[in-house]
Amino acid sequence: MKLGLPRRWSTRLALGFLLGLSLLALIAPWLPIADPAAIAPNERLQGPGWIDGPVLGTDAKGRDLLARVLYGARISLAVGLLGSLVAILIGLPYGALAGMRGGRTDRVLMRLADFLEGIPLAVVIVFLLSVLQAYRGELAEMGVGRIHIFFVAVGALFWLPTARIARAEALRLRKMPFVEAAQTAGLGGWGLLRQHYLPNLLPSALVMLGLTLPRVVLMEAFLSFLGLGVEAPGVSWGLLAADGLAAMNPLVDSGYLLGVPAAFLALTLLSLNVIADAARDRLAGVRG
Amino acid sequence: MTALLRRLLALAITLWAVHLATFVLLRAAKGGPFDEARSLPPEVEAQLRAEFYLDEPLLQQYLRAAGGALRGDFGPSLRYRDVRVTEILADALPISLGLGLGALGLALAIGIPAGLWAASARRRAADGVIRALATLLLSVPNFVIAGLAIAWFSFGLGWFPPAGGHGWTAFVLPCVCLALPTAAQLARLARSAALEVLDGEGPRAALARGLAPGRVRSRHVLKPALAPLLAFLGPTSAALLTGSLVIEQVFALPGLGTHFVQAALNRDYTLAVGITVCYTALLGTLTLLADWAMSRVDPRVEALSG
Repeated sequence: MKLGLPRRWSTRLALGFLLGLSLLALIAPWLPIADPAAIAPNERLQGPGWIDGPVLGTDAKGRDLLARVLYGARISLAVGLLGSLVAILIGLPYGALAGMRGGRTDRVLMRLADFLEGIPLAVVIVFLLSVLQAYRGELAEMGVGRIHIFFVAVGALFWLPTARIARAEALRLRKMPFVEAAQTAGLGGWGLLRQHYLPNLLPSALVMLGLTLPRVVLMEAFLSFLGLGVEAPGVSWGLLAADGLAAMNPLVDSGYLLGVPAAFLALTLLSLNVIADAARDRLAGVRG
Repeated sequence: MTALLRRLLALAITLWAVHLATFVLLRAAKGGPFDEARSLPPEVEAQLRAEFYLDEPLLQQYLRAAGGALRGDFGPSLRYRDVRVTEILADALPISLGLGLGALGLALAIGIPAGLWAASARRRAADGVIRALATLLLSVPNFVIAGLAIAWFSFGLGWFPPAGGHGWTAFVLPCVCLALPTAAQLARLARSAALEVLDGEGPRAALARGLAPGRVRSRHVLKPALAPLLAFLGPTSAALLTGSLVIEQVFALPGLGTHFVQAALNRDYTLAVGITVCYTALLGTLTLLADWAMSRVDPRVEALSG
């Protein structure tokens, strides 16, 4: 599989938007923007002022929305990226093992995957996060924050599809002459995995990343929105949207509080979905 | 028949495993809902623990919980005094079921015709518009759709209540907001399934044999294109379920989702276990129904009805 510049202009545009946003999020602390946590009671609920005043307005506590959205991007994108990596780190070896071994190992592993598919995993993860809340003190002492648990939990939600892709690829590789040759030459299971399967699975890992990212970003927004994910004083787009929705009121014109984070979230997800579609097409091209 | 029995057995095992896992998790959790607001005198706390059988040995607690769950009784809610989990479930289930089935019906009614239309207009304007709309809808989280809907239809036009409310009007906006992302997903699936059939040899062979185009469309395109979609009903219901957690919260509908989120935030563990098991049963039943329907439509699928 060749990895060049994407051919479609929509994919290029999406990639450009994401790279630009990631860069802005990355350098947010050094940008000339307000402190996202600075409360200013005198400047509450100022609407977006493009020329003078806060560019994207201020929230119900007078905090600058532009700064909050950019700092939120840091968390939302980091959760998306790290959560997807966790999903791949679990799913790829699992699927590779099933596809590589075949036979009974494959049947057992895939039966387990089918079983997990029958469970509303999102609900179980919420349950798990709630239980882990009780241990926040101990975990904090070990240097594990709520956000780290969150990365793992959200990633664990989405490893099943990556495992299925990895299994299909490994099954394809198993029939390849060079793998059969290596096997005949006496290369053991571990060597096969390291020398032939994992390197050849890497391109499809990129496809998995493309497919998983939008789901993880959306799930982060969901969970933070419900108050079960990122929590104050941290900011994420889901949290900002929840604030915006709570501030919605027919008497005060505060729609931008929901609109601004929602627009960032939607544009990011749109870009990610466009890229995911391109990734899916590549996968179909590889298989077909 | 044996296939159906095997599936039912698998569902039963899944339910048991979920119940066991949630039970272990909640017993592993330190503390409970009693030690939050203020510290209770030791005697009061001991009595509270006894009331909820928390002072028994672990195995006995588990047997009590499992036996209760078999009878559909998940014990008393830890947070709402003197209310049993089963009572909350009985109140909340119809609301969530109405919302979920309404949204599923709406998603099917919008998504499948849109997908088929896009497939029949392949590479022309209608196809492009439908595909772009579907991708856009998939990218807007349902709470954002909900916010927009509330702003326009509740605050602006005043047609529906922004939250809560009684009667069918309270369900219109939540159903639509829950259904739209799923409809977009279904439209994409229906489009690609229909294209796969259209590109195959079936329709062309039927046309060559002299069948009327209308008949070819209904028998040789529609039926084989819709059959694989049934397989997605399971994942679709799982997605609706996740979405309903948020939508019920936004519109303040006292369904399973709202109770579950509150239970998770308040650490009302017995309620959370009850709702998790309830959700698993719902998901399993819907998946089973979908597979059964698929075995009726597609003879290649192993029959569940025997």
